[in-house]
Amino acid sequence: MRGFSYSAKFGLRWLVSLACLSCLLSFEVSSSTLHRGNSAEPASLDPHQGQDVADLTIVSDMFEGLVAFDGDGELVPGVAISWESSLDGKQYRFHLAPNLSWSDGVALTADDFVYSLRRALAPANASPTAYHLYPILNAPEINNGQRQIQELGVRALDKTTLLIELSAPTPYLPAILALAVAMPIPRHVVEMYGKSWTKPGHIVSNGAYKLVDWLPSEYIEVVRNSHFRLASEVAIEQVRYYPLEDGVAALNRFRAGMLDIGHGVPFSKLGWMRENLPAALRLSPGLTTEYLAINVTHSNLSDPRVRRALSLAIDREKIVGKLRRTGERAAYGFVPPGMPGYGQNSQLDFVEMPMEQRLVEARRLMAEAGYSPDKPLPVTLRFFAGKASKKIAIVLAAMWKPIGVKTALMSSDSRVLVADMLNQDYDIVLTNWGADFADASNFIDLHHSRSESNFPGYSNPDYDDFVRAASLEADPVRRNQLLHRAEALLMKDQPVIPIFYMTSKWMVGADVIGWKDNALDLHPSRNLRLSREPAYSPGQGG
Amino acid sequence: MFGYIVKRLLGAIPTMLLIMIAVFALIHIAPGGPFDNKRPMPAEVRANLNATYHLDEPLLVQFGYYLSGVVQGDFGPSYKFKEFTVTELIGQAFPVSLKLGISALIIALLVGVPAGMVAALKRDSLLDLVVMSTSMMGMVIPTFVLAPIMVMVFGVHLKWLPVAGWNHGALPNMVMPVIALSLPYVAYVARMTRGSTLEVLRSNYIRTAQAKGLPMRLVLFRHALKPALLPVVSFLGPAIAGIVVGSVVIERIFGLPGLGRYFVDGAINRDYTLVMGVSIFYAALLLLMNIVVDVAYTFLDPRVKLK
Repeated sequence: MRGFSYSAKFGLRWLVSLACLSCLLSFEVSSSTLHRGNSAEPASLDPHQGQDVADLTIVSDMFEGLVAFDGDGELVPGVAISWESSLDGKQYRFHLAPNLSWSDGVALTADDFVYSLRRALAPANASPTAYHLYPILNAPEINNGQRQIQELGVRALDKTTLLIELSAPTPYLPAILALAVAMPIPRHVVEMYGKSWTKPGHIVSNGAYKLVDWLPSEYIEVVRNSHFRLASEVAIEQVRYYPLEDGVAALNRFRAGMLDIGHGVPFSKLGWMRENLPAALRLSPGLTTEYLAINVTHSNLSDPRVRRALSLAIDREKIVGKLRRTGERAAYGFVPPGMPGYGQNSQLDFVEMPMEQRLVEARRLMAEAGYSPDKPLPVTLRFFAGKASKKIAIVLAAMWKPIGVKTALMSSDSRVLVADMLNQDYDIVLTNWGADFADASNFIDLHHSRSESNFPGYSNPDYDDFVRAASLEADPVRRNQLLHRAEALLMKDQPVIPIFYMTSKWMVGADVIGWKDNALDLHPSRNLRLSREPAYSPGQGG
Repeated sequence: MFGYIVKRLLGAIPTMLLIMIAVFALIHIAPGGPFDNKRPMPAEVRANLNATYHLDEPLLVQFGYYLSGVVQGDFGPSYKFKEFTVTELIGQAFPVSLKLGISALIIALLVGVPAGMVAALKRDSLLDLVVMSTSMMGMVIPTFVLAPIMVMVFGVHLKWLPVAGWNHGALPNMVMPVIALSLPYVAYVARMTRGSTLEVLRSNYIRTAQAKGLPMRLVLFRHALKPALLPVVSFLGPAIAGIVVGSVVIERIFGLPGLGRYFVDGAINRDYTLVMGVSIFYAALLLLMNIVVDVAYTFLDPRVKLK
């Protein structure tokens, strides 16, 4: 017994000393460093190579395109202080700010953009996002090796003037030029280091921050770039991005004060967050639609009556109100609301119909197609592995049962499901689409019969005509009408069934000032400030 | 002895080749490829990517490219982390996993062996019961349950230890992951030591030693310890190889830049070269540790002769 109490005492002493040790080594939260959780380890810091949000978050802090996004998600002049387009909308002239330079002091001119846009499209560079630049004259032919890169419709008229020629009017060109794939790349550094030009010590950038450290799977650190065009307006001295795939681990860091901003909130912790950290929880509408893609080439699902019945039977209000409870809105159209310049989307025609009446209608359509609860339609509903998707899938199966649908649920690893979707080897899949850039065509073009993202295998000549006419239309009002008519057709034929428009979810600490919810969900570090007092600056008096 | 080691190393080459073929086949059989994203890319973009990584050539040719690279010590570029070669990724992550793994194993031995021996000596006593039931708990409570509880208690609430992060391997950052990582090993080593000690204590030469009137202390340390440790040593070989290549669970929970995550992320991302690289690395380590164990046996057991 005595021995036991001794060891207990010893244990206590050990714990106390450990506690003191940790007090001494208390986690230093530097006053001038912003600690940002990132959704994953970035695939690349080369703006032409990254694809995911994890890449974009860091790349857009480090580089600045001709056009940029601010903290409100609005397009603002970037490197180009102004631009004008020709009357036919097929030529754009960009005027660059004078005296620009890279973070190493080397001058940045219009020639850098000519080099960068050519590089992004060069087949040897294999940029996964090169297709965003296809509106530029000859871009697709260069990317598939049929033309030389010198033939790209981009020319430097002088050091500060850039001319971009397009193959068709593209009113959303500025939005495309703000994407990572259109950001400038330092030729002098790429030519010196080749593939390893993005490593710390090699890389130079032209944005608000420059890279100092890159520890894979641990953190990436950037500091303010004194050569940045607006360096004096950048408040935060240093930013660290932590790759945190695990939402609960991110929340723990946030609670321990190690993180100022957490990307995403674990679905299982939303309730807890709402009760305990309401001020830190930021939910805001984004430009992402959660929807069902229906394989219309599938014999059972090629019948539009069946697809309409499936859509009618979904109680979207119940899904957003009872299941999701994250401020999401029920979706009756495909293009999410808030899409700049698009206005009210074209909705399903039964928006106003009460749920009971919809179910009656759904049963009638199913009966016409030859199905009933006694003789149900067998379908497999597939979804990307994850708790949140699984819950939606279960609810959908339950909503479909009364109209005569026997739903088998199947969760799949992302690569497996995508491969099956591309091969049209599925019945129905629960998926989502988020805007690459803020234009409705980014959603409408998906279901053109020749689009590689046309998972349903939808093919309607009228739809294709609308899409094509819109892509050639220079007048924004007429173009908008064409896109709306395409969407209306999509909602009539229902190769896709919209369910809800997603919200973006963040944890934002009280020290972060200037965070603004916006539809594009872009939050450049240079638009933020920290309210923390400098930790060790006795002379400055706060 | 030297000849034996060389012979074993040479014998490992065909094994490695078989492992490479198996992993290569498995990862290519898995549906979907490294560039199958939720955002499908146009055919020309995909063609450019496939050409860059030789994915447009027959599998056999791809394997040939890979093999010739490996022979020259080049494990290729990661398909997902485009600016890093697989060698760089392993080179950066392995020291982290090695430090964690070795620390955890040292704890496992320092705690497990004495606990097991004490339990064997005081067989069927209360102490034995406590040691054995504690170790049973250590074995059955999974790390993914225990580690988050530790983080909650010591990190979030008591704030004694950092909830996550590596911080260049600073001691406070190591404490929780090492403990979480070592617990199942402590338990395993304790149970194994107890079992083998009991067996050894029943053997004739121990009875002889006791009959000669040797004090228990000498009997234990001079005669019983070495043979009692034999099963532990056999266990340690593969255990070392397994623990130093990291644990994805521990790394995710504590946010550590170790090797374990590459096994899982590599497979999920269909990052062919990364999966191949970490698998080959682990297989090589495992084969090497088995040779080390066999050599160690000659020192521990005079009956074992290497041929």
